[in-house]
Order: sequence, then C-alpha cells, then structure tokens
Amino acid sequence: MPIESLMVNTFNGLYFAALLFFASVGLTLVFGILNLLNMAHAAFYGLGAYVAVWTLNNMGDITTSTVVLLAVLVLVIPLVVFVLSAVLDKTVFAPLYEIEPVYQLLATFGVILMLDDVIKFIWGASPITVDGAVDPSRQLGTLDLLGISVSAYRSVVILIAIACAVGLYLMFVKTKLGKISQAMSEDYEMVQMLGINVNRVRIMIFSISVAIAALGGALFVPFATATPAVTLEYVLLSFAVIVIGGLGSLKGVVVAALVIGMVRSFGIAYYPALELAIVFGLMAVVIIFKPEGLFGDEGVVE
Amino acid sequence: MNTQLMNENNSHVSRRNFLKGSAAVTTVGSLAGCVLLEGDFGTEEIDGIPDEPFRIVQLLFESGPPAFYGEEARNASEMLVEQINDDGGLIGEREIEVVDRLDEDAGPDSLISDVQAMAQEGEVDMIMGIVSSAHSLAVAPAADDQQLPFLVTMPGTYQLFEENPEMDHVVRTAGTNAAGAVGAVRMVEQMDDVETVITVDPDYAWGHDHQEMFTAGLDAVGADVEVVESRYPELGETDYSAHVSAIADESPDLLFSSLWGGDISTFVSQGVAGGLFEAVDEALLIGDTGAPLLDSLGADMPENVWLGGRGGYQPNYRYDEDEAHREFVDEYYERYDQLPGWGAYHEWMGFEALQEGVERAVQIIGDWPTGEQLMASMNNIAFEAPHGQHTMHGPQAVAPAVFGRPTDDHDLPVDHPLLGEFEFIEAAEVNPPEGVLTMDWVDEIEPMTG
Repeated sequence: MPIESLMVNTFNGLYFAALLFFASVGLTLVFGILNLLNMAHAAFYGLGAYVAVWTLNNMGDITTSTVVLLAVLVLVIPLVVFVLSAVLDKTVFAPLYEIEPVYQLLATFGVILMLDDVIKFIWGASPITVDGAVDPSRQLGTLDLLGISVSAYRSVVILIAIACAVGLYLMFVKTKLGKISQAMSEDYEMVQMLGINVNRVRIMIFSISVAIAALGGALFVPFATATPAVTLEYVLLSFAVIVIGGLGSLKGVVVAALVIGMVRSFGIAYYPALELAIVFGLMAVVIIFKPEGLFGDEGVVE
Repeated sequence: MNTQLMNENNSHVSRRNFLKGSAAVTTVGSLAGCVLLEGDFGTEEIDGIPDEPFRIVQLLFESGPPAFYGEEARNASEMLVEQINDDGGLIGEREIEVVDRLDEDAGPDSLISDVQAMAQEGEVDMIMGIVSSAHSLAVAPAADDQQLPFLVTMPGTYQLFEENPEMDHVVRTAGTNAAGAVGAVRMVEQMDDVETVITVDPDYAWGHDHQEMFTAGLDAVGADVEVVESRYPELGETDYSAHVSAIADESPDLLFSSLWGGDISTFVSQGVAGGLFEAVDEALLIGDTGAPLLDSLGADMPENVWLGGRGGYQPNYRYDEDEAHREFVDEYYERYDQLPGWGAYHEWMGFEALQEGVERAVQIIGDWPTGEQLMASMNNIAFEAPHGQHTMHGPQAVAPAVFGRPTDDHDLPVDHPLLGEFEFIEAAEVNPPEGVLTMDWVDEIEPMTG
C-alpha cells in the first residue's frame, strides 16, 4: 500500500468522521441529558444543507468573499437554526419529553417526514449544488499536506469538527450550563427540585445540539449536493454512530465517528464490494459483543 | 357504412377474442386504416365514449432519493394532460384526469395492494408511470393479474417482459437499459486508446444490469478492453470521496457509470474536486443524464465526458428540426423554469403512446376500447420522439442510443452547458431483435457496422 494512498484514505476517513460527528453528537447529548430519543435529529443536518445551499446561491450578488461565506456557514446558519429549534422545542418537542421512548421514536419519525416535506415544498426534489462562484470549497482550492494534495476546504471542516468537540467538552466541564446539564443527566428531578430552571437548560441543550447538526449540513453542502436523500442517510448513519459509541457519551460519538470514517474509507478503497456491509457490519459486531456500545455505560463526558 | 360493418363484426365475435393479440390488431389495423383513410374518422359515429374522463393513477416517487425524477414526471404529465384536454381530450372527445398519485417510496408491497384495491373498485381506467426498475418487476405482473391496464413509462430493466412474457395489460414506452449499456459499448468501439475501464453503478437491479451488459458486450465485440474494477456505491450515497480517490489512483482510460439523479450529480461534483476527470481520459455517464445534471454542475461540468443513453432526451437535441420537441421544451421551460429531464421525456412518450393507441383502437373497432384492447393497440406502433420514430416491438419500446458532450455553445435560454457533438446509434444496434432474450443477444453481438 503506497504511503500516498494511505494518507489520502486517512484524510477521506477523517472528513467523513467529521461529518458523522456533526450529525450525531447532538443526538447523543439530547438523549444523555434530556432523555429524548430524537430520531429526527439528523433531519436538521439535511435542513442545514438546504438552508446553506440556498443562502450561498443567493449571496452571489452581494459578495463572494470566502471569509464572509465561511462565516455564514459556520455562524449564521447554526444561529438561525438555533433559534428555530428553540421554537420547535417549545412547540413540537415539548410534549415528547414525558412519553415513553417507543412513542418518542414514532413521534420524532413523524417529524422527519414533516421536515422532509417542508424541504421538498420549499426547494423541490431536484438536487441542488452550490454555484461555483460562491463555493468556498472551490475558492480555497487544494493544499499540500505532507506531500499529498488535499482539499483545503475539507481540511477546514475537519478542524472545525475538532474545535467543536473540544468546545463541547470544555462547556460540560467548565461552564455552569454544562455542569447543570451533567447533573440533569444523573437526576433530572433532583435538579428541578433544587430550584433550577430545567426548561431553560433543556431548551439550551436541545438548540445547541440541533444547531450543531445544522452546522454539519451547512459545511457538508459545498462539497456535495443537497438532495432529499441526505436527511435519511444521515439519520441512519447517526444511529449507527450512537449504537457503536454508546448512547449518551460524547467520547463515544468521537470514537465511533472516527472508527466508522476510517473503516469505511479504507473499505471502499480496497474492498469496494463490501461498501454496504461495512458500517452495519461494524454495528452488528458491537451489538454482539458490547450491546450498550463502546462507551454506553459512561456519562456524557466521562 | 364501413364503420357499421366493423360493429357488426363485433357483435358476432367477442371483443376479447377479436383483439386477443397484437398481431390481430396489426392485421385489422391495416385493413381499417385503408377503409378509414379518407378523411377523419367521424367521431359522431362512435358510440360508447364514456361521459366521465379517462381516469389515470400515476405511480412515481414523491419522496425519498429518486423524488426529483418523479417530480419531472409529474410536471410533464400535468402539462401534457392540460394540453390534451385543451384539445378536447383523447381523440378530441374524452378528457384525461389524473385522479391520484401513489408514492413509490411506500415500497412494492404497498403498491401491489393499492393496485389490487384499484382493480377491485374499478374506478380507474389505467395506471401509469413508475420510476424504479425493481418496482416495475413487482407491480406490473400484479396489475396484469388484475387486468388493470398499466402503461410503464420510466424504468429500464430489460427483465420486465422477459421475466413476464405473458402480460397483455402492460406496455412499456421507455427503452430498456440495453440501449444505454450496449450504446456505451458502441461508443467504446469508436474510441481509440481505451484499454482499462472502471465501472461505477448503483447497487441494485439497474446498476448490476448495466455493468453486466456493458462488460459482456465489450467481450462480445472483441474490444481489447479490460474492466479492471467494478464499484457499486449504495443508492443515495452522499460521500463518494473514497471511491473518487481509489479510481483516481487507478487512473483507468475510461470511467463508465449508470449512476443517476442526485447520485450522479454528487459523484461528478466530488469527482471534479478530487481530480477524477483529470485522472481518466473519458467518462461515459449513461444513467438517464442530461439537462438536470448539467444545470446542477454548471461551469464545473468536465468536458471529457459523454452523457446520454436510451433515447435522445436532451433539450437541444434536434431542437430546431423537430417542432414537437421544440414546443415540449419551450412549454416545459416556461412553466417550470428549468429544462426537462428524463423523467419528463419518458412521461411524454407515454402520453404519445396513449393518444396513438386510443386513436388506433377507436379506428379499428369504432367504439371506445376496453382496457385490454387499448393496451393491445399500443403494441407495435410508432410515434414521433426527439430521436425520430419511437417504435414499439410488441409491448416494449426499442430506443436508439444518443450521447453528447457538454458544451456552452447552444441557443437555449439557460446559463448552464447543454450537450453537443451528438452521437446517434440506431435502435437495431443497441437492442435485441424481437423475441431474443437480451443477455443472450448481448453475449453474441457483433462489432458495429458502418
């Protein structure tokens, strides 16, 4: 195996792991802290992708500056979705926290269908790509990394994912919000009885989680195409990530995303016939030997 | 007088037997054609045109990955139904109404039970459409069992009539995927310096059919070409970068792919970013690709590719020469602000066959046809398509293969490339003769003549 292709595949694996991390980290947080199994979580990844492609394509007349475009992807879109999801939490999701997980699954599956149709209603079913002039992945071009040529944009996405993981970790161990939410994951009622406004914390955690998924979708779209299929694909993949990593563990998401990213990247490169089986085969192995997932018996940031 | 005679005939012979096979229709058709040649067949003499509209239920993807394809088909059918009804309807007398649409995303089992229920209720005159090859294989025999006429417009699997040769309530107006795959073989025959190929096809019937026919066809014509690797990404894949870098590493002379819809768009755009089209000399993208792909890729569309497949369904192909095509494209563009893709073209061919079939049946029997008569009269007809005559061999259309290269040099009012340098390969070169099984034929094809 030549060293170049080893590195290219590692890079591809890292990039895919970054996308998986964005799509699934919120799912595990919302479950771990708020006890809501939100099947629709990764649907916001799809929503983020569409909002991003639409925004970028409409910005062509205003500016094509890479910095501004990246700022839109990284700050504006997650912020918009943050506000939107706070509203959704108060309305659509509020009644779901109290019901049994199986009903949560059914109800949030309904939310996927609704979001899917909203996307199709607004943007239609045809695939949409970012116009070349406002596409940061084209603007940034490639860079030389230890002798191989890689997409600069995709490198940035990997760095943002790392920053995001570190940021979340610091939030949980350093900030008040993080500490309260850790406590909530241990004993929700006790935290409530201590006079803490759990609803406010709930909305914060939920909205941050959803905003990260939307951020992932927004970062994904310059290098891909927004299609209605994105939603469902990432819903399935994000479930694979949390099954492998263990429900409710930040570390689990990071490790599982990396494992899936690498195994898939090298698998497709060297054993293309295995592609379909790779991710779910990995999931099966984990379920057989460690049904609770790699880190399922640990807390959010243990 | 003549019409009367035909009616008398009908009273003696049961209509079912009278029109049992398409051969009968052809014979009687030519007779009736002669007697009716002078002037219009007077519709005032036709009894039994039902008062209610001709009711169609469409089957297409309204959700899930292939929904964009269903959307094109829905757009086109709305437009065409309106146009036909503006002229009074079928034979100018009976309007069409699309009474319902079934979402293929529900899966074959659900489609089959819906079809059975529709047949029992008898409120539907014909079902039409269907995108997925896999679904067509499941639903067509079920509709035929229930004697519910089914005009199949989009899927390409060559297995449809080969697996179910007895169906007499089913007609398909789309060419089979043999035209695309063998068309690709014909293109390779004309290429110089192609020694290695990598195939990339979606992981289900459509993709595997294509890979097998293409590989077998290359063997049969004795092309000195080796398929060094075959890849089958999942349908709806969003990250092809691992495939892209593996193919770029291998640097084959030719890339062959039947990926379609959003998949081919994602694959090509990630391929461009990953330097794929610099690593390969040529690519043949035959998954019903055309205007929508060129629209979504825009200026990034690589130039060393051939797009096309089973039919000349490219908006600027014979646009100036063919008035009907020009009107179809212009009207579609005006309504939907985009150029028609393959789903739209396939649906157009379906409605052409329907109109032609009704007209022919009414001419022959002087009465509104039963479902079976209607389907029989769509057998062995021909009508105008963008690529010339679109011919039905029995219930199955045989399409020519048409390929083109992306170019900005076109006159249509869109700012993305369309195709140029069109290559037309006639239907006989890319389809088995009537009665011969596709794979048997592909294994034996001769190098192209001329």
